[in-house]
Amino acid sequence: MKGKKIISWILAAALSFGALTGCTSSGGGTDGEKKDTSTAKGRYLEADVELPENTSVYDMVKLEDGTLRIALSDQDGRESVWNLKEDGTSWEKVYDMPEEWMMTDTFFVSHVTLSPKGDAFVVTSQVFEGEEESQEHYYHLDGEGKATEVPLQTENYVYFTDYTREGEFLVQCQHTPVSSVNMETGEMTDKVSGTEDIRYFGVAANTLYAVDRDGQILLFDLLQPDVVEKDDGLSDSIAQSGANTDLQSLQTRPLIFTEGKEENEVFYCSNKGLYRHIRNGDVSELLIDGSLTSLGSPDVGLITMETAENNEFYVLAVDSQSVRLLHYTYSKDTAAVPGTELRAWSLRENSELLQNISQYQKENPDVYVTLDIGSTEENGVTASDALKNLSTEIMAGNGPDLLVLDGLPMDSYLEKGMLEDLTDVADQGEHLFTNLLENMKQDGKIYGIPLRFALPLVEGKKQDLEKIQDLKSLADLAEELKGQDSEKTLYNPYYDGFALAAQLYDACSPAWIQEDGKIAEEKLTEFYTQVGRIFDPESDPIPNSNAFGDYAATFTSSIGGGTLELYCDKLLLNFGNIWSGTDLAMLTTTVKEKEEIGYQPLTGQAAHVFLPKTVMGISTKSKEKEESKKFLQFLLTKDAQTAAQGGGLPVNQEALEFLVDNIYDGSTFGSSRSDDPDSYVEMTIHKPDADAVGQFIDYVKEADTPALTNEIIREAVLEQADDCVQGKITPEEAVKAVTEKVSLYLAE
Amino acid sequence: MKKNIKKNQTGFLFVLPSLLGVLFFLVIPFADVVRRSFLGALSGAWAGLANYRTVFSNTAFRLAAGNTLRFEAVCIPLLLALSLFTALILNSLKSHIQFYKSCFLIPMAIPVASAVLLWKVLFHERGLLSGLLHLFHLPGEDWMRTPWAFWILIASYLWKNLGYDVVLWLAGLSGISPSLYEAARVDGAGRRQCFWYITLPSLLPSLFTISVLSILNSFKVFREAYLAAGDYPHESMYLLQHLFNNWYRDLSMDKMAAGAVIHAGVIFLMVLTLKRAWDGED
Repeated sequence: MKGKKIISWILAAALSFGALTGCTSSGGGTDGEKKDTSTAKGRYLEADVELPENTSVYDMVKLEDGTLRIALSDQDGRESVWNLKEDGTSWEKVYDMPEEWMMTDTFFVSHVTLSPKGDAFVVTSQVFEGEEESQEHYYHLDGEGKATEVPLQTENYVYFTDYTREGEFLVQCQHTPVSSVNMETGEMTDKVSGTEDIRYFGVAANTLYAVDRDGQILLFDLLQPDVVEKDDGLSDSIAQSGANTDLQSLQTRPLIFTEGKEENEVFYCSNKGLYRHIRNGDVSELLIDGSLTSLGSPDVGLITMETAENNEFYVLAVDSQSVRLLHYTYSKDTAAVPGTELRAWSLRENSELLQNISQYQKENPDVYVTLDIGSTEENGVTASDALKNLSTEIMAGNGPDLLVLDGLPMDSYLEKGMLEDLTDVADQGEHLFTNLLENMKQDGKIYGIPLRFALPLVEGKKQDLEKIQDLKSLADLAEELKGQDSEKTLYNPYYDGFALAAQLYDACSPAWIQEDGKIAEEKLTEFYTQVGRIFDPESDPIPNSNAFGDYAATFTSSIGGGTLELYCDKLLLNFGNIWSGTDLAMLTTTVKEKEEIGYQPLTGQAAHVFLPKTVMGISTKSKEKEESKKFLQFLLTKDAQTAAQGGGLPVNQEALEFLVDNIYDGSTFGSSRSDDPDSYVEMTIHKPDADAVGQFIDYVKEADTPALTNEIIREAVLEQADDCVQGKITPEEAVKAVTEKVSLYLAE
Repeated sequence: MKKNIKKNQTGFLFVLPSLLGVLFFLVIPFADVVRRSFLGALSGAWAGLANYRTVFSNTAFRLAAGNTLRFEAVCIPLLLALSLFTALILNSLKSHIQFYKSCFLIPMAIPVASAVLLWKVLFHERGLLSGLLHLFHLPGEDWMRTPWAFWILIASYLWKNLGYDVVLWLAGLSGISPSLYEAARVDGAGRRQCFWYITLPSLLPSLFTISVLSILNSFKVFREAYLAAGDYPHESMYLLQHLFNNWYRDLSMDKMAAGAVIHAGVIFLMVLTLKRAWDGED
């Protein structure tokens, strides 16, 4: 009996202890870890090495004497080679490349690869009028820049090139293995068989690191070319770091490699940071955290890297604006982990914000900003579940400091006192479109500051545009134009009923909510009725397989695609939102080159509408409110606002002007239907002149009505659109379905 | 006496882990919910009965509560009657009882996600039901977006839980001594009289347990409804769990806490009523 009692006590104690400790152990561990790292010192800091002015760098190499050399093209399209002086900040020109290689409309240098021995390999491309394919020529440059043509024996385009430390030149052409090139004869010797299907490669010491289509790393010993090895530790480390290994362009590589001083030591760099790895070791050591530097910025692509004295690193990279040479030096006095951590949360991925975080951390090494994304393609979490996860975090006291309010229940958060008053931040911003911010105010205070916006516009013949006063007159015009010109469609023929309604949604949505917060059924019925009148049964949309999940919320309703079609005389009318400087350049180019065409803000069921995007809020529960406000102030500066990844136009006027001014004059845009290659259309855009920019800015300054951003209402309305315009249901039935769903939401 | 106390102490120690589990994971959290129902959502400021007033005046809550009550009122009696009827038939079978029991339990083993897929195949606008109606030149519909959605929910609940209740009724039936029936038949009782005067009264103790379990199981039907129709289904099948789910998403913890207390109170009252009825019969 006594034994039984003892057993029962022990069992009870063990189970109770297990149950209680099971809840807390992991949290305690994390706190402990944080405490340890917060006191540790020593971190690599990033600095930009100023490159010769107005140049674009092709390649960089460390010569045998340790000098850093770059090859570049200046603003006139002249190529030259430069060495970094001993002061580490200024450059001296070594030689100019032949003058006849200067860039023209039909001729350009496509590759320059520098050798540690001082020589170089150059690929030039000549485009002949009327021919789709260009012709490449190959040259070898000696240490003084004397060019000799290399009769390279290949019919395929050169994709990737690299030199080994011994000066052996390796090339990979389209669909061919990595080959060694004899510069005199042009003979290509298969250096490593089995590399036909690799995506790209890098060279460090005598090892070729090839990345295959699954992101696996294959190692080829260049001294024993037929030996293929796998370094599972390296592959696993790269995979576990979450590095993106997908090739984005032929100019950059997602992974770059260079050798270290020690035998078998290799350094590699990805968007996650710079790592040290010992060949066949189990793990890689993170030396530079990508999230604390420019390496983690989504617009940064890697070109090449080199080591330098004192364990320093140089990384040649390109961002959305220019090529940059990043210099990393170890600072033993800087905290290993920044002292202040700001946590931002966004429902969906936001490339501009990621880019801004990189910029801010570089300027503020003591601040670490993380961006948690609720719903991504990878995690497959629905928007609703992501918001519930966020609620859990907030209620547990682990909520973020900053919130991207796009897709979040802002009204509910306001009602709960969740959002900080940001009026002072908005007031301190300079060169902002104050009208856009003013109209986000509630009770005289601003709780969410839009960093970006889109503007609904309509484009067409000037005499047609004059007739558009509202949605009904647009529908009248559409009916008048239908069938007038058999060569042209009324609007972008790619639109089905869903897309057509989406293009018009923002210009109409402000009219749908009554003062009592309920849906204005008459207005919504009118919307479906007029969209039905505009709908052209002759349009030929591509069957849409994506119309589920968050599709309605993420559909951008861009005007750009239609502008291209209208420029090519395939449309009569075009409408939708302008999202980027490129969209604007397409519009202004069309207007400039086709006198009869014009554009104006789209007045639907509401006038002067804008769509706020990346609306930022600060949590009242944040422990870092002041630092969060500083970060938000930075996000409104010109530097931050010039980040452009398609998320909308900047609310900073200077940034908008800068973006437009930096549009590459002469860029060509083209598109064709996936099911009809003959439908190809293209246009060459030109930088908008001051008058065109001024006119657009005037339109922006007139905008005073924010479009409805509620995703539940957007989804409910657009869900019914296709059936309604095709006559399967009446506008009244569509409205009934919408109100049934939305009224539940609004009643909650 | 002393021996009895010691015996009780030992028994108590064996249930102590479970009691602690219930205390930490149910009683204390629920006490916190009750506390929160009188406070602001994030501020923690005293709100008195304001949250309750808000909830009672909330049309979505009234609709969800009404639907939930309607669902209970329709499906619980239906399930009890159907399962008892099925159990009686199975009990009267001479052979293959195990086989039929297993057949009725199969729906319970089907994962919710698969059941939802079945719903969609059956009740989609271009699903089997619409296809069948089309054969008779009748129009198809997205049945989950019509008032029929409520009845689909009822059917789903019955289909899923019938086997479970049948097994419970069979357990109850097996506890009735066959000698009672033999004695009744000797006294000239027919099948109907045997049912009314022996079977039914003997099953009353089981009725309480089965009813409570059926009510509690009925709340699980939300999983199917949510997976099939999302946050905002047709209003006829918009249940309290939909509302709580959406309130949680929108951080309306104040309303959710008050709604949860009201919900728990109603269930508690229902169980107490059943218990009282059962005790009264005893």
